[in-house]
Amino acid sequence: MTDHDADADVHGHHPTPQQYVQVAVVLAVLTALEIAASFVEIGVAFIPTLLGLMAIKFVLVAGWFMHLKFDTIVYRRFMVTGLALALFSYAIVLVTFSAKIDLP
Amino acid sequence: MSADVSQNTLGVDHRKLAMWVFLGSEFLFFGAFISAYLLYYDRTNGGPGVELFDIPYTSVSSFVLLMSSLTMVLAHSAHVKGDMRRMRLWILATALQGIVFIGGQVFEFTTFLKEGLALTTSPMSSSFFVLTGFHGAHVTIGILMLLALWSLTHTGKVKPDQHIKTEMIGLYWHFVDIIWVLIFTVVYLIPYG
Repeated sequence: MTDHDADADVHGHHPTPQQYVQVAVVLAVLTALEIAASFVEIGVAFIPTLLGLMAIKFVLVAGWFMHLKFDTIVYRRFMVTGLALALFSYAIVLVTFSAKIDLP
Repeated sequence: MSADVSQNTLGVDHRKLAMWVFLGSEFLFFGAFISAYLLYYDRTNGGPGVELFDIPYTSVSSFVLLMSSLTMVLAHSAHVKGDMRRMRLWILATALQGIVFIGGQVFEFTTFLKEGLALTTSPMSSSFFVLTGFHGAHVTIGILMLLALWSLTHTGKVKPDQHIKTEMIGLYWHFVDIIWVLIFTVVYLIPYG
């Protein structure tokens, strides 16, 4: 056998270089919006806006550049499992220790 | 008759599966340091804190790392097409952008040290340097892997039909980029704002 990547054949086509460039342009615009949001007074919308932009960038890189959108769902499950475990575990840590730090 | 040893019982490439398992575990690794920073970013022991952050400067570094993901994926795309000359060019461009990012981080750390923000100054500084330092170490390992791949294509040890190797290094590189997307927002922008 060769070292050939059988996955790419089985699970459809990857994007074209033009599509990758388009995704990169969107990522650049989102980054510019993030930076702009840091210098403009948007009040209570500040943190949700930044977290929303961050999440979109995350999904774009993982989906398009890491091919999770096009590859088999098995890889996506491993990634989501690790991410979900981290979010769940550290949310508990943050809630627990934040409460302790606030004690007199 | 020969079995395709690159595939496992799930019908996927075991090397890519192993990389995804590793990357999944890396979320837990970086999550620990990000959590520690979120707990301590306002505990400066009277020393300097997030006001030292130079957001425009870090934004440029972040942009460079983000664009390195584009050149990385273009390298993989060229490798899939068997265009090794273009693949090597994009790999070098990616490594160069990684080096620019690391250079920026070294400059930033040096500036912070001069301003009195050292590893042991406060819980905030410890959590900041450990988190961003480990990320920088990951980028450095990525640069070494890119340069190794570049040289192996010259010696013929990585062939045009072995684009899985470029894809594996690409997965690692994009993951490092994704972690910086999180760090840039959670560590720099939100506390600074």
